[in-house]
Amino acid sequence: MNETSLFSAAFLTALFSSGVRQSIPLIYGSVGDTVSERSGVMGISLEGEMLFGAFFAYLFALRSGSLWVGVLMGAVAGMLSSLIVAVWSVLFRQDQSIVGIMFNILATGFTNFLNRMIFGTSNANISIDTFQPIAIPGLSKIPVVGEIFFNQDILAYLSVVLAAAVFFVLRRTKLGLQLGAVGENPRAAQAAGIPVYRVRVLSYMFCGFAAGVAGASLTLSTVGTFTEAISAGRGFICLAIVILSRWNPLTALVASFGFGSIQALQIRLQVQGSALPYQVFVALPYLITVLVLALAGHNIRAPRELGVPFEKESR
Amino acid sequence: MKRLSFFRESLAHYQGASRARKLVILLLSVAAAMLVGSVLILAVGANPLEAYYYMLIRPVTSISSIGEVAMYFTPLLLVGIGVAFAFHAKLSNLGGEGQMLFGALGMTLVGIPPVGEALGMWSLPLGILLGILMGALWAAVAGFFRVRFNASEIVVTLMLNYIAKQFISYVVFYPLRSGAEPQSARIVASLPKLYEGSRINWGVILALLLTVGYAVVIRRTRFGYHLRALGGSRRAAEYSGVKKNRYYFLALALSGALCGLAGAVQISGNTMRLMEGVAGDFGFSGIVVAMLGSLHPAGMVIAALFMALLEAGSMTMQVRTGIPVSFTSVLEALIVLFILLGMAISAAQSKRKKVSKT
Repeated sequence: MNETSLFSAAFLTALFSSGVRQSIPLIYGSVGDTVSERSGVMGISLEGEMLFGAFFAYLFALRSGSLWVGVLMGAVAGMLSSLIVAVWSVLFRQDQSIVGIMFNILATGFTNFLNRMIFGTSNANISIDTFQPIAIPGLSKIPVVGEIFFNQDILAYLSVVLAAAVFFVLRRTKLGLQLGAVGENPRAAQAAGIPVYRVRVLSYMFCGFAAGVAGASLTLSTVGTFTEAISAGRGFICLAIVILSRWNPLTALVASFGFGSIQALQIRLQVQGSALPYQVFVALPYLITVLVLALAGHNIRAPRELGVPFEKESR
Repeated sequence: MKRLSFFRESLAHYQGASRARKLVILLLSVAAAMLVGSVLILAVGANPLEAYYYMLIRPVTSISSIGEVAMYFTPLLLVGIGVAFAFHAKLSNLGGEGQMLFGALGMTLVGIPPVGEALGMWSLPLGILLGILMGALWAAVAGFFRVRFNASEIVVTLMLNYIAKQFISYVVFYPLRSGAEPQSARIVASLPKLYEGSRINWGVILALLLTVGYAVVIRRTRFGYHLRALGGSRRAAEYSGVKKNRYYFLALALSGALCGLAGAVQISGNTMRLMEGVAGDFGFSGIVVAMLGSLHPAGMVIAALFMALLEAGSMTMQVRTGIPVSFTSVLEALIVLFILLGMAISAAQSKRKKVSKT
């Protein structure tokens, strides 16, 4: 294909519009993880919670005929499954990386198991009608920008609302302050009367809830069916987004859009062919993350007690 | 200052615990996981005893199926001791998959024509060495980031998996592609078989020898002693003159070297060609081996054997009982989660005892 069509307005509009769709699960996942990381718990298990969300959202949407029932059950599945991680890593204070990885293995195995048992071995799962784009009156008429940002489905709009709400809660409310205190200095937080365990467990459950919605958006917003390991590493990309955006949900919104657009570009190049192999684009988000960790690592300040279990009884 | 996490504390407690106590925790964990697994099997209307027969007993009933078990056993054990090295230094190497892929690439580069033909039989040891080196280098990237930029090795090793996967995908799609399928040419020299009529090969012996090497390094050398000291208490180790950064770097590189070897063995003893997904899930299931074997050399051999039986038997189980292969992942993860639970409870109990004594 020639250069002019690659940079034509029509191509870019379609590309970034698809980029927004690709970024929806990333937004939910990274906003959820921002909350739990602020309180000191790393979301290594995000990937697995997304899978739980994706599977149960699909299952319930299919059986009930309602996409909203699907989203709700996906969110609940993500939240309930995150409870396992919360109990093991917060209450029993086990290593978050090991618990997280084991949980991901469990989630991959369990959702594949259920998928096979319920829908049989054929790979052709029944497709369901996905969420349809809603054009926002007025705004969607703006050239290019309108098509990209204001002609998306309801989960996309809600993801922005969620990011803004979380930003507000973290920055402007007592709850946000307490959350940050638990992640920065749990001992002082405990002395100030903040229930450290409860805050950590609840914020991790919120992360599971958001990851569940992220999974639901995979099956109900774009694909319309469940395929094994559908999350395909998005949970780990979310961890990268959280680091890149420095634990700020609004920046995470922008970073997610960037990663979503790279994903959209990669899909297009795979179809159309390009001078560069498509693997470069698939690897790009991970490469960027590693490089940013190196180049900006000194400036990035993670919550001080991130990943460190807190022991209540200690002096 | 970071306090010693309770995980390390309970792991340390667990490793200091009596053999009997450890064994009780392990056996109870396996039993509990199998019990939960039984409930899952019953829920889908199958017979748990039949399923466990196919997973644990059937694989050892013939020479050829024992060969299949060996195909899983070797990489499981190698990755297991690899991540165990990192665990001793309080580091989590979640990048076994990427390191295996680079090890596999190293073996392939030397093993396929024209280099392989020129080297003949020598391509095998040289390929293995290059595989080890490339695995170590890939892990050293994470080690360098950890030491130089204080970047979490957990996140970096995870990210490096995806980069490695895409790199290998690129390599087998373009430069090394041979024929219609995205895979490399066949390597010239493969690992010799141990027994005709079965796929079992010298990879098994290599893995067992390295397990002995692991035991010696961890228990009998200064390096191993310092590694464990760092894992026990970083501050105390640093005060006594252990160079933290050097050991972190070396621990990750060594960990990657063993994973790289696992990748090289996977090519030269199993697939004979480089292709996508050649590292399977060994990067993560190797962590299960290390945990189930509680970082103990003999323990990890038994753990790798147990897991190899599960994975080799799961295909037959799926065909005969209709229970999907993915059941084994559920079982593996449950086992480790129960072990962690057992460790936490056991450590908390002994702590309470200590408190009540004083």
